[in-house]
Amino acid sequence: MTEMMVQNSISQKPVGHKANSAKNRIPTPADYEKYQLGATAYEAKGHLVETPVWKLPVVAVEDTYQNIKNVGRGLKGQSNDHELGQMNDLGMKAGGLALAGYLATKRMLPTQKGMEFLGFASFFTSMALFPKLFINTPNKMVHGFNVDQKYVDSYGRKKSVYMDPQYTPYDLYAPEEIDAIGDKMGVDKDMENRQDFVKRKMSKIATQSNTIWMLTAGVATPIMGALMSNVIEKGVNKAQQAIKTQQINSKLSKLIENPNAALFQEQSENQALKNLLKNNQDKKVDDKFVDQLVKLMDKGSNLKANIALKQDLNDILTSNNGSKVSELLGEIKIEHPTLQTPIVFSKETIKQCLSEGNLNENININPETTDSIKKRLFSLVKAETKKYPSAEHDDLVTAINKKFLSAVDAKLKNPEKILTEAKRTTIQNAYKAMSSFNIKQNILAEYVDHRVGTKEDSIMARKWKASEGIMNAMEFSFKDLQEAKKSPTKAGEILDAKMIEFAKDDTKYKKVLGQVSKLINSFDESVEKGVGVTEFKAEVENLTNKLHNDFAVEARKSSLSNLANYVAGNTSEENFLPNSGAKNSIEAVDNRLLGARGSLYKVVQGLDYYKKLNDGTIKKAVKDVNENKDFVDQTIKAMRFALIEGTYDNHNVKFDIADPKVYKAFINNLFDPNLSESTTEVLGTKENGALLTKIQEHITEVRDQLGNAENRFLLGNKLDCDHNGNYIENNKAGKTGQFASKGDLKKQMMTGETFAQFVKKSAEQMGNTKAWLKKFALVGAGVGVVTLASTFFLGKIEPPVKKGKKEVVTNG
Amino acid sequence: MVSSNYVNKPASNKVSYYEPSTPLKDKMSHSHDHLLKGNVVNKTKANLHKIGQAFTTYPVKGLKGDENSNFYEFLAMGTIPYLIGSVTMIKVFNAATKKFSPESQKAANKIGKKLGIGVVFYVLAKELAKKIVDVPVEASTGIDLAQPYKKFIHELPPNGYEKGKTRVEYHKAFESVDFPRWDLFSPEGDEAVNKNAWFDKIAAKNGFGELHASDQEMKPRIKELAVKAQTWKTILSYTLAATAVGLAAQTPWEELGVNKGNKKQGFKRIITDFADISKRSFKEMWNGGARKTKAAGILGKTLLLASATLAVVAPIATLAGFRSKHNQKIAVDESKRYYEV
Repeated sequence: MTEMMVQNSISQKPVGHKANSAKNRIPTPADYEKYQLGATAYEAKGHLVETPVWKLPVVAVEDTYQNIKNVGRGLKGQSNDHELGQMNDLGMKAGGLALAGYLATKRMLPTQKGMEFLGFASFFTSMALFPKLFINTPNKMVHGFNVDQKYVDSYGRKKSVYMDPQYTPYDLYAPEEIDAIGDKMGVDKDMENRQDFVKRKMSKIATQSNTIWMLTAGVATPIMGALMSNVIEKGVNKAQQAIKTQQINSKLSKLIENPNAALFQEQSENQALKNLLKNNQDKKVDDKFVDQLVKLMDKGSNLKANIALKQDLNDILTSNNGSKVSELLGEIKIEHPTLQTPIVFSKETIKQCLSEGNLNENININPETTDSIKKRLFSLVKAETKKYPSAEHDDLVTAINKKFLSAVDAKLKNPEKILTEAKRTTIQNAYKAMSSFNIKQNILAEYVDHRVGTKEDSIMARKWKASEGIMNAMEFSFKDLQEAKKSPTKAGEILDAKMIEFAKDDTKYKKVLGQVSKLINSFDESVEKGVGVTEFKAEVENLTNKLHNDFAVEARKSSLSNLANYVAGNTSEENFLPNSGAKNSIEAVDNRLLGARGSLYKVVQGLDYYKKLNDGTIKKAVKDVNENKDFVDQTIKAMRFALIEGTYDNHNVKFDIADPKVYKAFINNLFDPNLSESTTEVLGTKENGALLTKIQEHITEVRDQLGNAENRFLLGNKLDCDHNGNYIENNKAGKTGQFASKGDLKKQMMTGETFAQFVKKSAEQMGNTKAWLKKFALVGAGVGVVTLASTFFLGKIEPPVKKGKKEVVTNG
Repeated sequence: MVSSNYVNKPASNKVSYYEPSTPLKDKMSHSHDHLLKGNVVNKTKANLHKIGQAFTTYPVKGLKGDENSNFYEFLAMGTIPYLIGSVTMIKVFNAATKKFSPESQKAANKIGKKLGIGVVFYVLAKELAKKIVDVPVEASTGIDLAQPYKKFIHELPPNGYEKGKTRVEYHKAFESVDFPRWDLFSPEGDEAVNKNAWFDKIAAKNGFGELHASDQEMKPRIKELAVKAQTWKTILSYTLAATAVGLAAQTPWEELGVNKGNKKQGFKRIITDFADISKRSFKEMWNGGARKTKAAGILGKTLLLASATLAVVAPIATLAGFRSKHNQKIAVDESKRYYEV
């Protein structure tokens, strides 16, 4: 008997209270003593576990650690059912994490990368959170106990009390606790065997809750996870943005501080380039080799830069840099039918002749030096031809002279492209300068792109919350949005109807315009703050100038004069070439800002146009040009169409107005800086500051550039006009006009997208989110409400009838 | 049972079956648990029965809070969120796209399609992992770790009835490593000529020859085998599942089911398309996705290699040590007065 108890005690005793560590061991004499002195039953260690919410993450980590340890036991074949079950949870998390990690590497933006993990995390969180919020907590509140109560058994294994309805360890609850739960449930206090009844009720509630959980989790978890991701995404975006801005800024300030730092040199050697040069050293190279070089050296895909570089490389390779004239000429051999043996001038002879004439062998070859070389070497031929009596051999001497000179010419003019060691060094240095410039330029480009780039996570794009605000201000309902996002034409129709409606009601008009102007101001302000327009522009401009000019200096040192000219402009002419990279990057910043603002100004311009259309101002102005009704109608129709469906730069293409007079009336009224009274009133208020002036200036500028007949009609469009806008008969048909004058990119940026496209795009963004939310938030809310409500219907058991009141039957 | 002075309804004046008795039910009420042949038909039947009940009978019982609800039913109902969750996840994505503009719809559909394929692959990968371990184990040792058995549950009758329902559950003999159903492998009663026939067979197949007490020798080994198998299945199944979903995220799947002009449609075409897309997806995952990023390439290779390696290692490691002879000798240590085996 004692033996059995000792064995039992050993196998059951948890070592150091650690889970899963009960192991057989050899009994010590103490074990026997214990039982011989006063044998008692071994104390049960099972107990309920309460985990406060704040401790949940800690417990989750602890449990995960325990599960990882269990895998080791499992691999040895030592796990029990409980551990194997837990392992499954671990596998799900590890697999999920691996997948999220993998998918993250496939995403482009850092936010998208982060969202893979976040999606994973929010899925698992909602898996745990949904039953807690919608089932466990309400049940605890209504019925007084936790249906997800955990306990630790004598072996340290953590389990759910109500997992198996056929085995519920109620003995872990103190009788008082059961009583309290009974009180909460409203069980009759006088009931005999009350505890049994309460336990039955608890079991019933737990079974029901577990079932409800299983039935709802499938729908609720993904939806809750998705909704959660939606919310979290915004915060994560902000944080990531801040981190990224900081990183980019610090890189840039380092660049400004010390552009020559090692940081901005290519870190790893360009092995392919090195090998190519090494394998071809002292060999004759061809065009193909140069193309290969260009490919390896210039990683950008700018064709113009490539052409410049190729030219430079050809110059480097053909120069005799480092090779002597005598080497270039080599042996010169002259053959002629009358000569029995060819005349040969050896390399040494040539060398001697040159040195006697005090000609530097290392002289650079160019037309002038070639002449002096030819002059000097001619003495050799002269000496040779003296052998022939002149009268008889005139022809022969002339022929020999000619042949000799052309041979020298040919060898000096088209020197073979030989990759000497010196040239190799030059090319390698040139590459070094180029790669360093590339790195620096990329940092600058990244900085600019991060601030005003056309990508969705640039600072400016993030500040661009205006579109949603404008749609709301213009009272686009969910239905309108669904319609508007179908096509720009549909969007245009809705927009047209709305504008007409606003223009009719002055109060409404002012209200809408007021909201729009507020949005423009806040956009301006936030862009100024976030992007720091003024200071930012100067910064970019300075740095761009500096980087490009520095590179030009370096490049010229490395004999890349064409590339230097291309990149920084030929300094002898003006600061920048019109198409130089430097100029373009500075303009891009300007244009982006203008483009974003222009889209907003267009809304004001549009509202104003409809207002003036409504009060007849426009009609009157057009009538002043021509009273003809058709003319007036046509012009007004064209204006409305241009406003909604046109970008400014395709007026020439889309709005094929044959008559210059009509065009003028059309442009002058569409872009009329004299805004209507109501508009002036709203925009001129104090809080709008200089907005009125800014918009007027913008409209004037656009009018001057687009409506200017000089520009338009001199471009060789379908119709030609003189400077005064008078029609010229002999038009060159078929050519459509695009801006070709200086700064045309700027104009295109000012024009932005069409109004209808803007509305369509905004409707799409808003509509998609709303459609999604509407559908799933609704389903999610439905499931949530049903789950919550069900709590009140759980655990209904008919209480036993009290003895003495009704029939009495003794049961068992 | 609540008893004594309190009486439960219905009044217990009726002594009967809880449900009308039929010959089949009568037979069932006297049936005992027994092993089923571990063939595809039986296993499929068992699975379908379990899933069918999980969607019909068990939730009804569970919602009523039936006192006869048990852990098996709870676990079986775990299939509900698994299936509904998969569908919802795809729906959350795809259903909303109907309201998107054509361009957004196109983009969303592509992702949605890959998501759908991912869910299907996930389920298949998990099933595959089980087979990768179970099939070699059975071929090598003769033990079918997924051996099904039919269990008869004789429910407690409600108060006032003499006999409750008898229900059938399909379990696996080794689903619990703590309590494998050894009893089912040892026939009892008059038919039992050799109680250890099954263990003898297993011992012989695994090179232990004739043993005096084959059950004593084999039970701990089989138990250990079951634990190892389960562990490896878990490791393998999630590795394969992650790889499968990663594979489904590759761009070639966007082409699945897309009609490519004048090419003939039909079953054969679907198969060749599928094979071609699978091949290209493997390549893409190996090379680092459509954009060939370095990190994606490394992780993609890691996932693919890990899956391939684990698929080979899992069955080998599971079987390792199963046939090794124990070195311990049975001896009597008088000083300790007990036997150590």
